[in-house]
Amino acid sequence: MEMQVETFDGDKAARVHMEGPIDIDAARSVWDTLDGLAERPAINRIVLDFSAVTLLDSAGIATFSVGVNRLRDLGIDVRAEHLSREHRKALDLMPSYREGVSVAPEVMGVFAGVGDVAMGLWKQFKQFYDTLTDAVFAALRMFKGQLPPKGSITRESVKLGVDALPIIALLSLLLGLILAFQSAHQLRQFGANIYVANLVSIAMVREFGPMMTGIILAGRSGSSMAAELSTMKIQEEIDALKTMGIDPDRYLVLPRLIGITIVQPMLTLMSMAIGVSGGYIIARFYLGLSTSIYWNKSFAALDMGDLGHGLGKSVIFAWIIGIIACYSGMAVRGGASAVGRATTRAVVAAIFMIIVADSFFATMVTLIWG
Amino acid sequence: MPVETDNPTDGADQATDEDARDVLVRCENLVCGYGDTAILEDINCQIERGEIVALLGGSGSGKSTLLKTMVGLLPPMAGTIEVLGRDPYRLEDDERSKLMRRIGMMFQHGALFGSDTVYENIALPAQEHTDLPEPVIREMVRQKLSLVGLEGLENRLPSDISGGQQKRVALVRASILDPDIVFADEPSAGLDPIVAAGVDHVLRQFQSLFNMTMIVVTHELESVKVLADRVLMLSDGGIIANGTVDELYDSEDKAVHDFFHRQAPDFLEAGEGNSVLAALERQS
Repeated sequence: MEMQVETFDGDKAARVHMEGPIDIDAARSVWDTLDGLAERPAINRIVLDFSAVTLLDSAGIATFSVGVNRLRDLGIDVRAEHLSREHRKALDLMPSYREGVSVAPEVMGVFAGVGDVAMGLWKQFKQFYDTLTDAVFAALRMFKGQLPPKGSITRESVKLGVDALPIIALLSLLLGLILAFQSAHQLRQFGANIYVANLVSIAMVREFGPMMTGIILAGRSGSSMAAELSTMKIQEEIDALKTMGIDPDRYLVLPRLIGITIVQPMLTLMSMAIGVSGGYIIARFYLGLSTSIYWNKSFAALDMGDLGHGLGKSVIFAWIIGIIACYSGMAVRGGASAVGRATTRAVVAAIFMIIVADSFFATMVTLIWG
Repeated sequence: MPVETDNPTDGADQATDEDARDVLVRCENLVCGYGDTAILEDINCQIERGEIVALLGGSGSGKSTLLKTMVGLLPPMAGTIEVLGRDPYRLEDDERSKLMRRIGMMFQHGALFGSDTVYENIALPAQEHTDLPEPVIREMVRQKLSLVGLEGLENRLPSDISGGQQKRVALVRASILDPDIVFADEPSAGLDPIVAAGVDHVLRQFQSLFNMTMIVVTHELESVKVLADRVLMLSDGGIIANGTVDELYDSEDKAVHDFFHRQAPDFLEAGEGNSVLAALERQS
């Protein structure tokens, strides 16, 4: 496309002669030309000559629509000449530029933005509360004989727990090794090698076993729960259950919650045992402690309270993971990107809440029992 | 301007009249929508046993919203709705479950459980709501699948069958308990004309075989002609027409006439004096 600008009437008027197609590639140069004319204060009249224009597409029409409006706002008289029948038809079809009508998203003020965020958080809290209470009532209704579908708890337990076994075992072993190795390095300086057993066993049983199992299950099983439920929600499968008179909480949420409640303490117990065994490898082969001394010291350092503390926490972590994952999945709205958001939210929120709950436990137990 | 399709009359007379006519769905001054946004207002209608009623209307006219409100997936914003004498949204879980057992819903995209087989999808309502032995449920599923020409697909996953087959599986699942009412949301949308005609035929067949009442959301005129005993036409936030296909074909109401005679809307015209051409030719 070529454009020629001629001035006449003592440089007070300009004629824009356009040649060739005014399409999406040429629209920018039309815009720049009109912009350039607008900046010349002497000009008060512009004639747009369409005689050699071969094609006019929607980008070209939009450019003229906005450009002409801007020129007129500056007090410049704009005329079009030699429009062909086809171009007239196309220009006649398109609505003209309207001031104030914009497709850009509305920008909120600070207060409105804060209010919007607060309302969003309140809505999320209400949805979370609903999920929680629905799950509790679904659990209570089990005593009225409304049990989850046959085989669903076993299926979920296997899916959530058994499949996570290898990764938890490996990471627990490595964690036990690291703990023992790091503590051995320090304790060796004081000739206190023997206390590696106490340190590793107490740390694994009270803290690291439950927390690491929780974090891995949040990342692995929580995300899969949230993704599965949110996909079902988006594909109207949950609505389908409702229209069949089947309670989605009983059918979908309860088996997952019960499954993770069963599986998490078991995996935690395994994590504790394997972590302490990891410590044993360092104690035996790096520090030269005998097998009997290591295990005797480990068991002596622990009591049932420690085990109860660790396993009790693991059950709470299971509920945190399960409820957050189910809430994230069931509350989802939108398309495929919403599934991704729900999954991310389930993992991040669950890990965050596990650490918060663990801190709470540590503080409360220390304050109450010393 | 929405029309009153059935004027509520005095209580006792109305109840007797309704009993005689066996009204299965009744909406009175119903307002429905999403959140705080009303899509349909002042909906009054009654649907009787054995009827196939088409909810007809353009895209965005509120057909699916009304259907979802009727099956209790959306709360009514105002007015009353009764399906088999009960408001499905307001019922307690047990009562709701009993009501839903008498209702079947066929979703627009099937809403089949992707990780379950065709058999597991169809058998689920029977397994949940009856204590029938598994061989009997298996036979019920086989018989109904054979009625829709899908016998032998029991062990396939929904992703392994075509869109038309998925729709038929969804219909079988919706009707496995021989419900009083089947709600179908766009049953033939997105299908080629032959498969769509097949789905319409199956719906008709099920209605006559099992005396089901059907409420079918559609915007396909061909389906309406084949299926509907009566048409409720939605537009402008309400019911604008209620009658047989022939009556609506001859309607003088512009919206109804345009719909039935496929008149293009005028949104392709910018409006006189409001086009880019007018702006270019306007005197400054």
